[in-house]
Amino acid sequence: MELDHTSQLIAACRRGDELAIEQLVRQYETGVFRLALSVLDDPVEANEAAQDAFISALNALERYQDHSTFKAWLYTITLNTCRSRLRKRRTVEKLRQTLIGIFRVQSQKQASPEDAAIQNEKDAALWKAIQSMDEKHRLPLVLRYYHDLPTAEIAHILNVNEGTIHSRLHNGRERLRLALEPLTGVEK
Amino acid sequence: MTELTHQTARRLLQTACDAALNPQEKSLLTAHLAACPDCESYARQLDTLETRLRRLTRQQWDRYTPRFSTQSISQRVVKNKTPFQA
Repeated sequence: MELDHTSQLIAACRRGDELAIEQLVRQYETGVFRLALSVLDDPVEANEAAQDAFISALNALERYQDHSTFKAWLYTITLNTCRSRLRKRRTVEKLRQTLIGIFRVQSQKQASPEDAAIQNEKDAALWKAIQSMDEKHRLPLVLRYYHDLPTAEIAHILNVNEGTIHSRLHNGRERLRLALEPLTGVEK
Repeated sequence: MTELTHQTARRLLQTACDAALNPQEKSLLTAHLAACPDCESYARQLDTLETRLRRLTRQQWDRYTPRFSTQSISQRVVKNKTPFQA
């Protein structure tokens, strides 16, 4: 039933039906936004990335084929949009570090609202470990534990085989477990 | 049936986080955990980590909601379509 409804909506979007486009965006906006947020960890940038992802997807609807679920297809586009933003962010950060080096400006990272919200020692250690993790391990963990996706779907979205996802999840959990190990016994 | 090594028991515990174990793996693991406090502790750590991961990511990200206009997206998309596509 749900699939039929989405297929009809997609067909109407392909014809350029504005109301259908709005309905499709509304149906997936929270999922797409939260995916972008979980990758970029910045609500302002996540909003921009979500809009860009919707526009890219809607402009590429002709290329969408029913053999993958629409959600997985849309999530793949969202992840690619976010990755491109992460690459730009890294370039800007590299430039910023170079300028700091040249002008010897003292850099002070301001505590983000996320940092402020974490008050418990183990949560803080875990959050720090997640944030410092490379994308290869972080994304499967985020898709598995925040978005509750099964490994087959994660593999499809990230375009790698399922065995690779199992191995990355295993390594990622092991790193996080080790990050928490020194705090074991701390009752917080 | 053979006994599990600690390494195999931990690998199975990791596998069980993402997929169901077969009945034989399950029974070997249960027997190993009952006799091995270290692997039992590892199992509890993994379980706690998973719970904490789910809770923490929701706590951090669920308080934000999308703030963009669906109308402006549809207008931008429709505007981009040529008369032949629309």
